[in-house]
Amino acid sequence: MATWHGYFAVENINLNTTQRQTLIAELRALGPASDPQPARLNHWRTRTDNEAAIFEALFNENALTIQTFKDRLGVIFGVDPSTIGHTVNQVTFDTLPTPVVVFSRSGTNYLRFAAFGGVGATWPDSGDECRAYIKANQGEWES
Amino acid sequence: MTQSHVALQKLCPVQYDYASKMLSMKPLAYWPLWEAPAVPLPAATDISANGNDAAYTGVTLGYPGIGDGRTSAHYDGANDYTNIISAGFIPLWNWSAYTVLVWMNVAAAVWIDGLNHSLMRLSNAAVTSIWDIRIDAVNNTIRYYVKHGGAAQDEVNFVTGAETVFVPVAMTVDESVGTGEMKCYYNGAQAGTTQIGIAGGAGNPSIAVIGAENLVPTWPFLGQLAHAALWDRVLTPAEIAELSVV
Repeated sequence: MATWHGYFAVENINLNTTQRQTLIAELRALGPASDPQPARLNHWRTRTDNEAAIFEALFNENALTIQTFKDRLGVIFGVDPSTIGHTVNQVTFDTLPTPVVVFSRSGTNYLRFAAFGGVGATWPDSGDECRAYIKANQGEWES
Repeated sequence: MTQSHVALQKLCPVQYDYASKMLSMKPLAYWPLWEAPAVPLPAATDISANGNDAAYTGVTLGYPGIGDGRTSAHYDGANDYTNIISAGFIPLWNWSAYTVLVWMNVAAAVWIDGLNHSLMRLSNAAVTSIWDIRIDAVNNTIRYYVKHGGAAQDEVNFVTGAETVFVPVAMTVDESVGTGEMKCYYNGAQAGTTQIGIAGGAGNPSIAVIGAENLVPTWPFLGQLAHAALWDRVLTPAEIAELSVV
C-alpha cells in the first residue's frame, strides 16, 4: 500500500446536503487510525461557507484516485460509477502543478477535487501549494 | 531572578531548566509543547499545578526548541492548532488580570506573506471579551489585541525586526489598575505604549487556541511555538524579562 502525506481539497459544486455530508464523512475517515505524529492523522479545515474543505493526513494513495472518487460518487448517487465523467486541469498555486479534477454526470458538475502538488509530491511541497492556494483565496478561507 | 527560582536552581542545578523558571512563577497553565511523537498520540501537557492538558490537531512534534534542550511544535499554516479549552481550564480563567506568554519562530517569508497567523487567542462565547496575539497581515508586525465587555478594543501593532529565531512574545492585562492597562512585550522588552481603558471582561472562555484564531481553523500559525503559558496575575516587566531568556 503506497501512502502519501499531503493535502487535498474538495469543493461542493452541486451535491445536495445529504450527498455532501455522506462524502465528507467518508473523507474524514481516511488516513491512519494512529500515528505518532498529529500531522499524519486526518484533520481538516472548512471554508467559511462550508462548501469546501482541505484535508491533510498520511493517506493511502488508492483512496485518492479519480476512480475511487467516482466509486464514492456512484454510491452516493446510486448509479454506475462509469456514468460519472471527469475533467482534469493543472493549476499552479506556488511552483508545482496541482491536478484539479471536476466530476460530473449528465452534464452537471458536482464536485471539485485537488491534490496539492499532485499525489506523490513531498509533504513540504504539497503544503506550499496548499498554503499558496489559501493565500490566493483568502477572502473565502479566512475570517 | 525570583527567590524561589534561585532556590530551585541551587537545589537542583543539574535538573534546572527553563521550564523550572516558568514554573517558579506559578502559571495558571503552561503548555511547553515539547512532547515527542508517540502512540498513543500525546496531549499537549499542562505542566502547571492545574494540569489542564490541551489537544493537538495536525501539528508536527519534535522540532528544535528555544535552546533549552527541549523541542517545539510546528504549525503548518493550513489546518493545525492546539485546543486549550477543557472543563478544568474554563473556571480558572479571570478576565480582570492575566498574562500571556509564548515563544515563536517563523521563517522570513511568514513576516511578509500578507496573512494573519495567530499565536494564541481566547474569547468568550459571544466574542465580546477577547484577547489575541498574532503575526499580522501587515508586513513585519505583531498585533496584540484586547477587547473586554464588548467595549472599544485596544491593540498594539508593533513593527518587529522580522526575526527568524525563537522570540518570546507576551502581554499583560490588568483591569484592577485604575486605568485598566494592557502592556505588550516582544523579546523581553515592552512593545509599543501602555494601553489604558481595559474594563468589563466577562464570560467563560469558549474558544482558546494555540496556533490559530479558532478551531476552523482560521489565521493558522506557520512556524514553531513553544512554552505557551497563562497567568492569572500580571507579571512585572522584570519577570517578563527574566522569562525572555533561556
